[in-house]
Order: sequence, then C-alpha cells, then structure tokens
Amino acid sequence: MSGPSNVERICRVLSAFDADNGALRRSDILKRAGIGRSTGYGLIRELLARGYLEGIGHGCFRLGPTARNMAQASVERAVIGPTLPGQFRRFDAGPLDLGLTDGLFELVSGPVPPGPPPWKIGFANASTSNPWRRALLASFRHGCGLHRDQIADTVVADAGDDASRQISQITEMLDGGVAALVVSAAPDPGGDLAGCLAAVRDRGVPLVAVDRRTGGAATHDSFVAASGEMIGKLSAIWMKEHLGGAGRVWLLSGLVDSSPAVRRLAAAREIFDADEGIVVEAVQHTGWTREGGQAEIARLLDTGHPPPDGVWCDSGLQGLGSMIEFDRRGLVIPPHTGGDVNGAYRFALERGVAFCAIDYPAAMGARAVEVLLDLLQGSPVPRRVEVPVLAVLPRGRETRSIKADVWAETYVKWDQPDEYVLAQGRGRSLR
Amino acid sequence: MTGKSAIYRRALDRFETAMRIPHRPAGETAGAAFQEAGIARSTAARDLLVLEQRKFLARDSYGDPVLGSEAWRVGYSAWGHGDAGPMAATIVRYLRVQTRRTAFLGVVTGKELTLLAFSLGRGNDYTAPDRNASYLLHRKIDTETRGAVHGMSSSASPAGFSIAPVAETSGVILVAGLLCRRDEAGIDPDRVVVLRDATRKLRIGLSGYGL
Repeated sequence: MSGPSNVERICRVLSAFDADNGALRRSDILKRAGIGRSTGYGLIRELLARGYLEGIGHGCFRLGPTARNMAQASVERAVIGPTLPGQFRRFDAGPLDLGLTDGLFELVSGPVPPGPPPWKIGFANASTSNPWRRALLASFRHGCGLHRDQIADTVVADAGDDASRQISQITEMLDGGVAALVVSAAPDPGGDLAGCLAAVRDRGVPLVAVDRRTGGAATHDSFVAASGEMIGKLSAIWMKEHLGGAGRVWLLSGLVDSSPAVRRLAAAREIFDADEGIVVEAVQHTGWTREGGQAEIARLLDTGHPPPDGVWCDSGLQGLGSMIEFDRRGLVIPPHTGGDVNGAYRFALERGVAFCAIDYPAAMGARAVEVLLDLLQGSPVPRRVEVPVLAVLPRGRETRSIKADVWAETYVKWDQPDEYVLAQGRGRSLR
Repeated sequence: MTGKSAIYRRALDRFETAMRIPHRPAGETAGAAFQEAGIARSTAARDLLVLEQRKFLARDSYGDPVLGSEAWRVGYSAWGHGDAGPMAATIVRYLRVQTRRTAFLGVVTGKELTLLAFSLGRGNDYTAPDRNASYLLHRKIDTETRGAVHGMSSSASPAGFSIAPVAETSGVILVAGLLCRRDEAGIDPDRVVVLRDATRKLRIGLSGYGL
C-alpha cells in the first residue's frame, strides 16, 4: 500500500497548527502530521520558501503570509455579471428579517466514538417518492464514495413516508451492526419516530438528521438542511413585490407534517399575512409531486375560483404541475415560485412565466455524511449545519429586495430531463 | 536532495493550482486550470480527491469547487483566529442575504483592514472589494469600536464600512462588516443591528472553543 501523496502531506502540515497559530518545533509539526523526518524536513523547507510557514527562531515555525492569503476569498463561486473592484452603487432596500439560528454557532460533540474506521453507516431515508428525494440519496452515496477510506459499508432504507416502517428499518440497521445513522425523518404526527431516535441516541449511536427532522434536539446530534425560513420568506417577498403589494395568491405546500414544508409555509404566511393587500385565497398540500400540484390547481379552478394573481409553491416539484394545468386550460400562467427540478425552470422559461426559485439543495446528503464522519472521529460539529441556497430568477424579474444569484437562463439544463435536480452537488468530472 | 526538492516544488505547484480553482471566474473549468499548468488529468483528479477528503476543497450545491472548511481554518489560524474559519462562510452569507450588501469577516491590524471571507452583494447595488481586499483605515479601531469607519484601498479608492469587532488575539482584531459607500457607512441603524446580532452570536460560538 502506497503512503500519502505529497499533496496530502502538504495538507497535513498546514493542518498541524492550532487556531491561535502558536509556534511549533519542526519535530512537533511532523509528529502531528504523521510524516517521517526524511520527507518532512524537505517539505517544510519548501513550505518556508513559499511563505506557507515562517520561522520565528529557536527552530520554531508558524503559519506564514501565504497561509494568511488562503482565507482571502469569496465564500461562493457563482455570482452574476462582471464585478468592478471598488465600485459603489446606490442601494435603498432595507434589511430582510431573517433569523440567524443559534444552532449554527453551537458546537456539540457526539457520543464516544465506536472505534477506529472504517465504519458501517446507515441512511434511513423518508422516501424516494420524488426526484428531489432520489437526488438526496444520490448525494449521500456520492459523499460515501468520497470518504470510502472511512466507510466500510452503507445500508440504505426507504420508509415510503411511513414513520412506523422507518422505526423498523432503523432497528434492523442497528441490529445489523450500523455504527452511526443519517436520518431523513418520515412524517411523524404521533411522535413515535422521535421517541425511537431519542432512544437510539441514548444507546450512544451518533445520529445526523438531514432535510427533515422530528422532535427536538434529543433526536439528533446535528441537523443538516437549508433554511426553510429563508426559502419561504425570500420567495414570498418576491411574490409580494412582484405583485406590487396587492393580489390574490394560492399557496401550494409540500407534504403535510413534513418539517421543511411546515417551516417554509409558516415563513411565507408571515410575509403574506403582514400585508393587507395580499389575500391568501387557498392553501393546499401537494405531496411534492407534479401530479399533486396539477390536481390541486385543477380542483381550485373547477370549484369556481378565478385564476389567481400568483401561485406560491415551496418547490418546483409541484410548481411544474401547477403551471402545466394553467397552460393545459389555455389560461395565462400567473407568476410562480419554486425551483429544484429542471422541468420547472424549462417550462417557465419556454412560456415566459415570471418566477422566482430558491433551490433547496439535495447536495445536503453528502454534507450529512461529512458531519457524521466528524462525529465518529470525535470532532465537535455545529448543532445546525446550513447548506446555502441560491436565488434563481429569469432576467428582468428581480424585485427591489430579491436579487438573482444566478440567471435562470444560464442555470437551466436544456439537455437534461424534467426530473433532473440541479443542486445535487455531485462532483463534476474535470471538463 | 535537489531531486527531492524538485518533487516537493512540483507538489506545491499542484497544490496551488488546485487551490486557485475556486478563485477562477465562473465558466472557467478546473480541467483548463490543470491543463494550463501542464498537470495530467489523472494526477489532477487524484489531487482533487485528496483535497476534498482533507476538506481543503469542497463542492458547492452545483458541483463547482469552493474552498473547504479546513482551508478556511488554516487561513484564519494564520491570523490567530482559526476557530472563526469554519463559521466564516455561514456568517458572511447570512449578512449578505439579510442586507444584500457585500459582507465580510476580516482582520484589523493597526490601521489596516484586510477582508478575508466575503460574499458579494447582489443586484445592481452592491459594492465590490478592492482587488487586494486591503484598506488603510482613517483611524485605529479597538474592540469597542462599532459602526462606521472609512478607509483607502491600495488602489487609492475610498471605501466605507460598517464593522463590528468579534475578538482580538495578539493585536489582530477579527471583525465582521459590510462594505458600503463611503458617505453612508454605518448610517443605517437597521443594518448595524443585523451586524451586531451576527457578531454577538459568532462571539458566543467562539467562546465555545475557549476563546
């Protein structure tokens, strides 16, 4: 078996230093990095020459100016348009009211690690009932593949959105020797699943909730998701501003009792209800399916409701079905919200529908694997890990407060099927 | 020894090529970066895998390489504030989303402000950092300083900031801030409230690390 590559050794040396950049002797650096002297001395010499390290006398070193430059960067890659350094422009919109969750800054340690890697880990998935959920599973598998040196085996179960079935599956996984779990909770109105998860944690099994959770903090060590509040509020603010503060809107939510749907809907209602000009005429649940979205719009139109001024959807999973139904009836498609699936973007762009999408990244599956591995290694992790969301709008559809992170016209994948989930974060090959 | 030195230099070249990928303009591919540097695809793929495993690189939700949490930690550690590194992306993204302004988590040494992690504002109304992300402030600040300061970039452009200090280590003050027009820095009390709330929570988070 070959040893670490020199690129890996570089990483290990740089990671050897503490947060306060306290000085280390050469021998301490190499010990922390797990590198032998014969290789290490030469490598340290080159790192010194490039400024990654600096000598401070008495054979001691610390991170140097080139390492300081590593932290000078944008935290995201995709931004719109050319940026002129030092450019200043007029700005008149006030701050948005978005809470900064305390859990983002609260670090927790998991139970005592079960032993050295590789570990057997399990993924109890609520369901694979729609393209987004299948993309979440693909992202989980991608994350496992990336860390295959630490993962001996994976067990995956699909609960079909049934909490009691998920409880049985989790029990089977643990009986089968799974050392740690990622759980995306099935709807759990009775709280039985929450009780099961709390008991699993009491047994000392590290547990990361992803996308959906049930119960309070007792049911997981860490929760990985995107902000439902942000998705709900930003999309509702866009709708309100696009309608000029007045109009009738229909709200198409996802799955009853599913935590992301509950959070997004509550956040959107907060925005709509605060404005007397906006009338929420209907709130329907669609099961996050195209068919569900289409059926609910058909039901509303068939019961004599005139077409609304806007349709707020918490995802394009049902948003696509909604747009299809208006189109099928020869009606003008009102402004919509909701992204996630390629079909929603394609349909809206082809028909010139005004829309705003705040994608809910399926890439959180891989992130959950990373957090779980950190727990298994005994590293503290944030109580809450938030995967960033992007605002995707067609050109010309920005409002006073909601600006595009990326234009829909460049974001859509014209060569991919409707079911393709755009934000699944799987590493692309070197193009 | 010369031969070994050359091997380490080449490894550092490859490391630096890979770590520059997140800084490349959108649309420019990782493959092109390695090709320009004369690095074989198979070697590049191995390096990227190692850097992802060591968390020096990560993928964003769209599969594009971005700086990983360990790269942030190392970079902030070099300034003596390593514990803030893994939280940097979260905090500046929130500040940017809430204010639509360019938000940053930077350091002040003496009168020099260096922007580290930043998130560019959106729409037509944002302010972009100077290319060197370094500014000479009009006055020294300390851990009690709040709100508006202004300064001059290395390219002699004036700039304004709303800043709030988070922590100080060995004379290096970690600050969170918003980049503004010089004449409006700190005048919006709502934005100052947002900034203070974020820094307060960040400070509490850092105290969990023992700072």
